[in-house]
Amino acid sequence: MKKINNFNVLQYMLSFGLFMGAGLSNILNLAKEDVWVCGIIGTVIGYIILFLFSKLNENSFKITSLIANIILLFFGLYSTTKLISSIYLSNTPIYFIMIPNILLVLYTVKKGLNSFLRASFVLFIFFMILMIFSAGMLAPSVDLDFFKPVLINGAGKIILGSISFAVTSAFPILLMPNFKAQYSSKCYLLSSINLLIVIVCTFGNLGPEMSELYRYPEYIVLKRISALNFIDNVENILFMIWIIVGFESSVTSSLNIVKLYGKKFFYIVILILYVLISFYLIDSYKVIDFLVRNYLIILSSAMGMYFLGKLKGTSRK
Amino acid sequence: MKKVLIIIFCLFISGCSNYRELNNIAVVSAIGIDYKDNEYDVSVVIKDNTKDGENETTLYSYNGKSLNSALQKISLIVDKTLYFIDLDVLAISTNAAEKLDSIMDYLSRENNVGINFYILCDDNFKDSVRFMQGNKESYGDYVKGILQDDYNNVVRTKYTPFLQKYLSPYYDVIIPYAYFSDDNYLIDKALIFKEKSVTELIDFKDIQIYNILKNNNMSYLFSGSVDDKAYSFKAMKVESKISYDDGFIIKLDVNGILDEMEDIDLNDKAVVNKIIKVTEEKITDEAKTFLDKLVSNDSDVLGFKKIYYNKKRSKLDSISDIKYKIEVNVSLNRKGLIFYSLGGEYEKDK
Repeated sequence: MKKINNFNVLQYMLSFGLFMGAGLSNILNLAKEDVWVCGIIGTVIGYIILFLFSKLNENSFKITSLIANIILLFFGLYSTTKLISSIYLSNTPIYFIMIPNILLVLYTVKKGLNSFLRASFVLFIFFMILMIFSAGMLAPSVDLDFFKPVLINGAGKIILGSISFAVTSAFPILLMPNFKAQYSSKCYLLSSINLLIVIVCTFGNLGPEMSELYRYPEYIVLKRISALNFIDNVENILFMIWIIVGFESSVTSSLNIVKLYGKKFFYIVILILYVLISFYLIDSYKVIDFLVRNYLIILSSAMGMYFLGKLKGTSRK
Repeated sequence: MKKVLIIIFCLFISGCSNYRELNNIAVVSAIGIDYKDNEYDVSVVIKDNTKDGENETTLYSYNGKSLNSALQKISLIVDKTLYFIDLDVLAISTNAAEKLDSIMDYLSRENNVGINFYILCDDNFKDSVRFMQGNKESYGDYVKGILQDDYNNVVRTKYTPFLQKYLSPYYDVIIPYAYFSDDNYLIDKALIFKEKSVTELIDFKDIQIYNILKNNNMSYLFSGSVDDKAYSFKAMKVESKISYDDGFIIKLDVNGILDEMEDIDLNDKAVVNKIIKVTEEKITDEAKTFLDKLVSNDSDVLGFKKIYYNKKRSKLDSISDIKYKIEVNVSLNRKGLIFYSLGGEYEKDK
């Protein structure tokens, strides 16, 4: 059996990166009962997207790469901070919450790609333990009645949901360092199966109305885990899954920005993002509403622009 | 540098601004909500957590135009932050049941509220709590114990499944109803709703049928008589299925034992078949009574609209015109330490 390398592990976790915060609720609200169909079709679309990108040259237009990475870094920092402030530290100022997150990203970037990959491998073990435990506890209480009737939501919503799944899972993988050399289609398939399990467990436990009601269904579903009269209120521990993937996507994009424009430029970018997010964006209802409503458009545009940048880079060579 | 960073991380990630000492939080085990004169009358039962009095609780109440304002006042009186993460029971009055939208909104919005609590209707929450306190019981633990026990044939309504049904356009909700009877606190009735409004109070027999039709694993008893000899049939394993095929078909497979009986000759196959037939008729009659009640109140607590939607892929506006057929199949089990009856036929053979 081929040895799992650290890039495979990073790729696996990156596919989850953008589902936290808005990605998962977006797909659940779009597709509702047909969310599992979107997962399957979305995997195929995502596979095609990644296959196309893997055939392009590693070189790309610097500015399009920069924008794509900034978008990933923004969502990584924004989602993690928003979730931590909503769930764990509701009274703590946002600029306070962001500091350890940013310091961690800076430190990891300073240590370089190899250290990050080694750390990712260790985090992957925690990630899988928490994931398997959560799925194991939630799977028995999945109500299949929530998924009926099948294909009720119309082709339009299913296609949109599938595209949403594909873009949300594939976009962070595209920005993985040495993507062309290290991309593994088997890894993507495995992570998609894992994502499908997450989606089915979430929707199958909450149902269409509660999935739509709650801002973070991926957190609320973990509240349902209760067993043996003493395993209770474990959602705050299990939610580490999403904190880990947030960290992975933030550091990946940071490393890419450093590679493109150097460390000084990266420090300026992260400082601007820190100020923007903590003082202006995070508590603005309009901004949150805009990001949630246009999540798919933003990611698709970023991916499309990155693709054009790659084409330009390929044709230049 | 590493040490400096670790120190900085420790300072920032300790979450000290959200920190509360255990002595400064009041763990709420039950909330009672009433609504009268356009105000919420909110009561909370707080565990005292003393070494000697394990079940000792204190009841605090206050009124407010909103739930939040009433709870804020209570928090001031208690002089602690109210902590709902270990909430056992939410008791609402019949009046407050009309304000379920606001109540559910508040409970869903707050991250400080657990989701594993039970919901019931109690029109005399404060009296109930004082009654339990007199018996050295904690209201939340006592009610939770009744609702959790499979032996008690009650409507069991936990928050998350309740909220799912409440929000769904294909279901109406049902809440257990608690009351006093001869100095006993009973929860053997339930309120059924139609589109978020209370319609009728159903009794123990209806609740039994409701639990059977929902495939809830509980203890079911049906009494009957054969040749003027009484018996009690205890259903041990029940499988029910509701399907739609040009009308709703309700199939019940009931396997059980004879729990107590007068001197009936169980060696006689004809007698055994009579018992089965009488029990089938009894279950069918009780099921029909319950279903007629639901249809006349247009209260879809069983999910007929969802079954119809799954099958026909179109919505059913009301269940008041539905046609249904009940098919009951009873089988007798030989479980139990004795099978034949004491006295009578048994004594004859000796």
